Amino acid sequence: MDANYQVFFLLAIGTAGMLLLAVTLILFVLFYQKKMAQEQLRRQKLEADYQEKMMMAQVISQEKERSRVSKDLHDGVGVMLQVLSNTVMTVATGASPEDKKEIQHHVNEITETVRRISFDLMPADLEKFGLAKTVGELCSRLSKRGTIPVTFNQSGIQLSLDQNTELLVYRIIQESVNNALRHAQASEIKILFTRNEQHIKVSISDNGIGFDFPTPEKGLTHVTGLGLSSLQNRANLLGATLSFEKNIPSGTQVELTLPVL
Amino acid sequence: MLFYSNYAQQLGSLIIALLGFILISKRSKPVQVLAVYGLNSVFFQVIINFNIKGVHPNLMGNLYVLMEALILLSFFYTLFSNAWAKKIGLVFGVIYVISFCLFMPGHWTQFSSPIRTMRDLMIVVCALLYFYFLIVEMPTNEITRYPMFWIMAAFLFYFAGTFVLSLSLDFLVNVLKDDLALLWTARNFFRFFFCLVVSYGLWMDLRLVKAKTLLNK
Repeated sequence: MDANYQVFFLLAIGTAGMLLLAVTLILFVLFYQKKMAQEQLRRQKLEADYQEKMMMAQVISQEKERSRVSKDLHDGVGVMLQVLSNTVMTVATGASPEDKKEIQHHVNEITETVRRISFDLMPADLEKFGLAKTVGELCSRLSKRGTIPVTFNQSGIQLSLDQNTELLVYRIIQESVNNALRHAQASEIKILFTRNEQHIKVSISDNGIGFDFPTPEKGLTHVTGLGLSSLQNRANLLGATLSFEKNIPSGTQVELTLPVL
Repeated sequence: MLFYSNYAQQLGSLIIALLGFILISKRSKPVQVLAVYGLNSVFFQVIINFNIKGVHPNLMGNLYVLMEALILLSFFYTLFSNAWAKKIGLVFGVIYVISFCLFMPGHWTQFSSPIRTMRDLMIVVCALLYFYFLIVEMPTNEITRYPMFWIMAAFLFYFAGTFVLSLSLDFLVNVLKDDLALLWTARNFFRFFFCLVVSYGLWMDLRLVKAKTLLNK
């Protein structure tokens, strides 16, 4: 009888051993998977940080290049055009006043175009006077140039952003306004800066025909020719959210929300 | 105590069947097979309880073991997406049927150890295979949120636990005689716990299916 119960005892040990093995295996899978998931998340974060740094470097390099070209245009070509204008006036002494006027008009036109291109590439005011003044300047230039009024309002807030941030925000505003001018068929474009304790909001709205803007489901791939991915990239670098909404009664509102640091 | 433990494990099987059959058309194939497993368990347990005249309870018990093994191997067949894992399920099924036909003649009314041992071993191997694939695929989400993790953990735990019992069943029947009831009571409560964990996995799966249905609406 004792021998039988000894065997029974061994069987119980065997069962307990199997159960322990099963539990150990399950716990091993659980903790191994957790560790691998954490490792994968860490790697994804590193890659995301690297991508962000690369993008930032690319943007900075682009802006530096734009700044260089802008300066060359303004200081180089602009001055040359002025010299050309003076030389032409001197050479064309025998020409009629109407012809002289026409020549002056063309030279002025070219000079103004070069200045505009230079300003669009890199507004010198941004560094000197800040974002609000530069956006105001952009609005008045665009209003004068075209038939659509572009207005700017900042509801009395004081913006204090660093230079890189201001440049990125300016580019987003610039691209959004250009899109509205080119495609929206709007009769009015408004830019508004607002601020609360947590956020700074920049909204660019028009009363045009609207467009099939990106949603979390559709993404950006179905919309081409509007530089939306460039807008999104810049917003991501700012740590800001970029949203597109239908304006009432018509048109589009592009809203950039920056966290206040 | 054996009486209560018997009803506890029947209740466990009933819960599996119920949770498996709710929204069955929208559930995945493995869950549908699991629902059939629950129903099969309830069916045989009720038949054994009725004590049909001329039918030995051990005969029904042995038939139940065959059905259980085949249904569970079908469950694993539908669960695995890997081709060679599916083949293993098929091969196990064929081997089991052949073994059943070899071992059972002349032993229908006995508590058969070989068929139970084989069943337990096959299920343990299949459960281990699932965990192997889980480690290889390495999902990034918390795996305790996967319903199948809980179901497989229950399978591995229960069938590994009963493997030694099944292996030594012939010996235990001869040695323990009436004391076997005590061991069987413990085994029944163990099965009830197994059913609870499987039911938890099925309940998680049901929640996911309901959430998906609401989203699609």
